[in-house]
Amino acid sequence: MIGLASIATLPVWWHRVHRWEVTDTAVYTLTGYFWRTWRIAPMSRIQTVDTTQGPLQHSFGLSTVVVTTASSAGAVTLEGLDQETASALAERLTQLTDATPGDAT
Amino acid sequence: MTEEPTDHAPAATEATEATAVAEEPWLRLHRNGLKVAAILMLGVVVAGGVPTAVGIASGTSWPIALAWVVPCAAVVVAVVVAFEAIRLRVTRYRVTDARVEMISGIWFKRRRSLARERIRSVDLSSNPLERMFGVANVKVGTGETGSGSGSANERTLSLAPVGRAEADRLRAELLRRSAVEVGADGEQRLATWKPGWLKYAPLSFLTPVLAGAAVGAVFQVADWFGNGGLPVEVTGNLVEEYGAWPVLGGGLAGLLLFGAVASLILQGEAWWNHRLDREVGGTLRVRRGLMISRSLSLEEQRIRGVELVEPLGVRTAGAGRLDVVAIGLKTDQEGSDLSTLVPAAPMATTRAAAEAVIGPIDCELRGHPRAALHRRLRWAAATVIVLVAAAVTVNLVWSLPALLGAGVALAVVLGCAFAVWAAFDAYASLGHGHSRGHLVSRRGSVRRATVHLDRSGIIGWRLTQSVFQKRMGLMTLDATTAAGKGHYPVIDADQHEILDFADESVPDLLRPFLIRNE
Repeated sequence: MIGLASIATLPVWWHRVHRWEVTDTAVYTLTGYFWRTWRIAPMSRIQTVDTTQGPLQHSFGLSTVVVTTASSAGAVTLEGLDQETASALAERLTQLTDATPGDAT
Repeated sequence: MTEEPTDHAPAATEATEATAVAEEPWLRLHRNGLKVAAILMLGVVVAGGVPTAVGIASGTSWPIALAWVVPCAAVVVAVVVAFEAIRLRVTRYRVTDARVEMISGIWFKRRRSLARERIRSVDLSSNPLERMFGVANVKVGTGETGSGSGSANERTLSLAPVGRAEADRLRAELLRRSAVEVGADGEQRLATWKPGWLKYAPLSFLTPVLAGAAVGAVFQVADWFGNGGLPVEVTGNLVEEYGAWPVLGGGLAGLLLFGAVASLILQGEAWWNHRLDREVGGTLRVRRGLMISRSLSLEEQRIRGVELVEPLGVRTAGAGRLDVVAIGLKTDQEGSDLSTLVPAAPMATTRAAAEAVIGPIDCELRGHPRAALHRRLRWAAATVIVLVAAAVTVNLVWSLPALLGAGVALAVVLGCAFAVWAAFDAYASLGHGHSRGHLVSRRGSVRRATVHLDRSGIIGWRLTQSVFQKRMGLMTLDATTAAGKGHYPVIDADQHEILDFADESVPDLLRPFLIRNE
């Protein structure tokens, strides 16, 4: 019962709770409800931008963008974006980070 | 072996142009490494073989035991030495203008190459045996952090061993300084170890840990000799003879004394003759060690701050140690002393060393809201409830003898008192502020640590707030950085004040996402 209920409600809840935003200077996410976590990674410190897509995500046309900084704790994950948004975002982030000099540490 | 001599004169890397890449000769490891390995292996074989021989001899007779053990030992030594000889022969390395390269591997040739600009530390070490033969191990670290591909092994390059002079040359050259320039006059002494600092060693957490390890070792040895219950029997006999309390007290005191002495020896060995220098060209160098001499060179460019660590025992004596927060020096494992610049020393000395490394560290720390204290008191209350419940259950389920019951009760009372004290102390420790160019955050009771993190080294924020924190108006701010642990938190600060604080620390990073009520 609890399992079924959570299957029905959790995705909706996640969808309501999770937020992300990308400006020209930083990537920002908000995740979690009981343990809310805001993550901010400045554009100038981004090292890699990965786009991944699992088989299940593929069937729904979704993908995940992972933005890594030099810190082991600084990765920002944007889950469940639709495919076009994700690839456009990855491209934009890559361009923006290329444009910023420095070794990002 | 007919090797070419290993102590090549360093080819003049500065003078030659890009063509030098092809001309740079491949160097070999030092052949004395073989002698060291052979002697070490003999030692291991003797240490392992003698008890085995005794064991077999007690069952049969000496000639049979020797007939078995000696050939086996000889084979083991021969195989290991042969492998080492091949390894020393096939391993080659060279330092070109742009890269350090190493070829190794007996079955699988491996070629590893590190970009020189990525090298963050060069670590020399040698044990007494290696020192006798004039060789040292060199570890070149790039210290790429993060969840990137490749194990730690692939990101460091380890040359074991090379000649002492060659090791010094590598160290100097890889950190982009000419070996000739470094004279005694160019060095700036930042801290020098004093034997008196050893008095802090027994206060460290090593003492109880080693005492516990000793107990474990006694049981283990008893078990080997087929009588695992022996220590318990001996204790039981002692209790009958002298009474319970003297045995308990004496045992504890004895164990602690053992732990203290062991900790004294370990730390004395590790930190004997410790020196912290600033060398020409902006490198910090830590040299230390009685038996195994260790040397760590660290480019100052890679330093993102320092952490003043005051573990409880050491803190009560007014002392603390200085750790460095540097890119490429992992400080994940507690107990690793690789990142320590100054061991437990009087606080004034430690602070002076910190100032010498990163500049003025004086700053007013802002305290945290009372709610943070209430949160800690709730944790303490939860601990008390759990402890008392556990004690009551234990007493109800097994009807303990009076002595053990009293022992449990005493432990619970002490535990509860400590939990409550720790709550107040942890709250008193909390604080954050700014010094010139640095973010300062202090926290912890059992391990109180004050981190001074270079604001330009902060590469992102992570803010967390649990439902409990939200109700109390608290928030935890994590400054992420490429150095050290990767993130350094300011725990349980006021949720509005901390956002302003973060905004002030690194201007323009957080601001676009803040909603202001003015």
